[in-house]
Amino acid sequence: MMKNMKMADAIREALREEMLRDESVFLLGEAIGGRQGGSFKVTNGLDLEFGKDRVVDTAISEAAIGGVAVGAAAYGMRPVVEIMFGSLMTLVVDEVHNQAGTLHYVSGGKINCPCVIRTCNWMRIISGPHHCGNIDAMWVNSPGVKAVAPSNPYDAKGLLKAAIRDDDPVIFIEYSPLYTKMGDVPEEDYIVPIGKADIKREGSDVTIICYATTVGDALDAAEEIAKEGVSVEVLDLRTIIPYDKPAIRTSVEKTGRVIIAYEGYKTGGVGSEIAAFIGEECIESLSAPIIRVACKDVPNPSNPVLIEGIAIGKKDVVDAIRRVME
Amino acid sequence: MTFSLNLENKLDIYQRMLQIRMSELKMCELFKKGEITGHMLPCLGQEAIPSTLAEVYTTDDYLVTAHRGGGHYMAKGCDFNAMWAELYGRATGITKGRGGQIHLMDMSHYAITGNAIVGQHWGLATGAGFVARKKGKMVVAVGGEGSTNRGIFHESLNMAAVQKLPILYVVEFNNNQMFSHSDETTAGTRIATRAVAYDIPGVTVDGNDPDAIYAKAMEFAKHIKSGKGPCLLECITGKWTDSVSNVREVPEILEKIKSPDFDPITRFEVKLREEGILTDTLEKECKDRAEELLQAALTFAQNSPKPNPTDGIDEVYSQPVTA
Repeated sequence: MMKNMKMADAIREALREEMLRDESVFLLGEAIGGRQGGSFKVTNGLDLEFGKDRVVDTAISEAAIGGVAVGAAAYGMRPVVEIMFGSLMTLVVDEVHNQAGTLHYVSGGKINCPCVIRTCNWMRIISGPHHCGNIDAMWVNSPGVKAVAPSNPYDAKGLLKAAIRDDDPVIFIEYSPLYTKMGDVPEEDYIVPIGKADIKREGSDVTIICYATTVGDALDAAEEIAKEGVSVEVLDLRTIIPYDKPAIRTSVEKTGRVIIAYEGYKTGGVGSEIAAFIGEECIESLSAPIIRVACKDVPNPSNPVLIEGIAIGKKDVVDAIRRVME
Repeated sequence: MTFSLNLENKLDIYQRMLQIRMSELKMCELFKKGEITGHMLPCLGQEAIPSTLAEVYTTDDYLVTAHRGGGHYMAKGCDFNAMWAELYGRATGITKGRGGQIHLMDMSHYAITGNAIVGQHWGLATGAGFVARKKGKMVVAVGGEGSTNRGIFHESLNMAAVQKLPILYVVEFNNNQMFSHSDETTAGTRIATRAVAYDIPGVTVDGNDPDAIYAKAMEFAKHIKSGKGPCLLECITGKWTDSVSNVREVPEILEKIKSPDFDPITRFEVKLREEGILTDTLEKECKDRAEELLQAALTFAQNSPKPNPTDGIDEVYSQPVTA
């Protein structure tokens, strides 16, 4: 049986079900309980059900939140902590990169660090450079860390459950425009495995590699360009590290043309790594240069007009498809 | 209630201090000879703190320390042979030769006694506190005063105080953070007064005196284990050297730190003799035992295989990633 629900509700269901299933799971973050229930209401009501020991409201203390994630995980619990915005993830870079990411390795494989750090990105909400933005690529360059970013409610719930059950640190990146996106979610328990991409639309002429918000842009663009007789395959990475190399290889071999769309800064972004991988391992399959569709390398302006100058959308993907087909 | 050490506790502390002192001196000696390499931070001069805390926590309590954690690792009874194999970079090292001296950790003793980002262990200890609260244990978190100016120290104390986490925060005040003296870089005269800001008990003791450390630490442990939340114990001490390769202390101060009136081991020996506990024979027995353990560990390490370069590319994730 399937239920139709918003992505925010699917995430809350994943948290709730994992907390019921495993008492070592607990939540910690700023205003995740109480009157607010998370800045986007994702955790709303969980404190009433599970109590304040398992849904811990904290001070504005990102470093301590990150430190708790690592320390509690090392000593055997499964913390799921929330960093309110993706741009605030800079405040836990040490906890993620130097602590969580290294612990299993540097302990000689003897200590696991099963923590989940949830955060939330957006580019187009007008809150300026300290609240908007995107540093997803940082985790791609951080050994020992996993990072996932779902594009729909089904993937969100399944990936979050997988992340909570995973024995490694996982950054779970939500994109706020997707919270209200509706989708079917099974009533029974399931997971979406970390490291597995998903073909959201099959096609034969161009592969669009994307994740989170750009999956919607790619699907819309594919629909539009189909009228011109171009067949587009949409590959949703779902996991940005460790990303699904076999799935990328298979799709690139089929289409020979690649667009990588990601709602982050273009230079050194997630798509840059994917492009480098294809360049190294799939170059002989390519019949056209790889195109990256990504935001301009500019801090987010706090202005609805100016943001249009740096952000991307369906039109940018359509333009890229036309270019790659030339 | 006043807590005081009994005869058996005292001799155990003395034995631990000797073992740490001998081991750390040997580490410096072998590094200078070029026999072992890496970044190593001895706790010479601070031995009383780890040796005494071992009488305060139980074997099941959690221990999270930072730089200069070797003494704490040894005092908690973590694998001594594997520590020496680690110093030698051998495959049998406690972290398979990956972490080296500043990442010593032995989870079979609930000890993460290494962390090379100054202060970050305070955050990890606070996380361990959530686990300890659930399981009825205590966390002992130890770091130098240099780490108490990091924001994470304050964020941790605040969170632990609000959540009433069972954590004993111990500050080893050696007045020396890297190249600077703390009294030139740190506001306030005593670190313990920072506890006032978080409305938790905080006190300063002579960190080179096991009796003083024990009395206060036990009182705090009782407070913590009764669910009343964290405490902050500042132990005044001194360190002989920053790392195996850098002393970084001015000669006059170093002379004072090493003097019989200040050095924790000499002072304790004098005290134990005054109390009629230590005799020449017993002192020799204790030193022989420490030497014996050290020699056994050195033999184990030296006879252990070196890792292959390819041994260091796995276990980045808990399960291998296929692709």
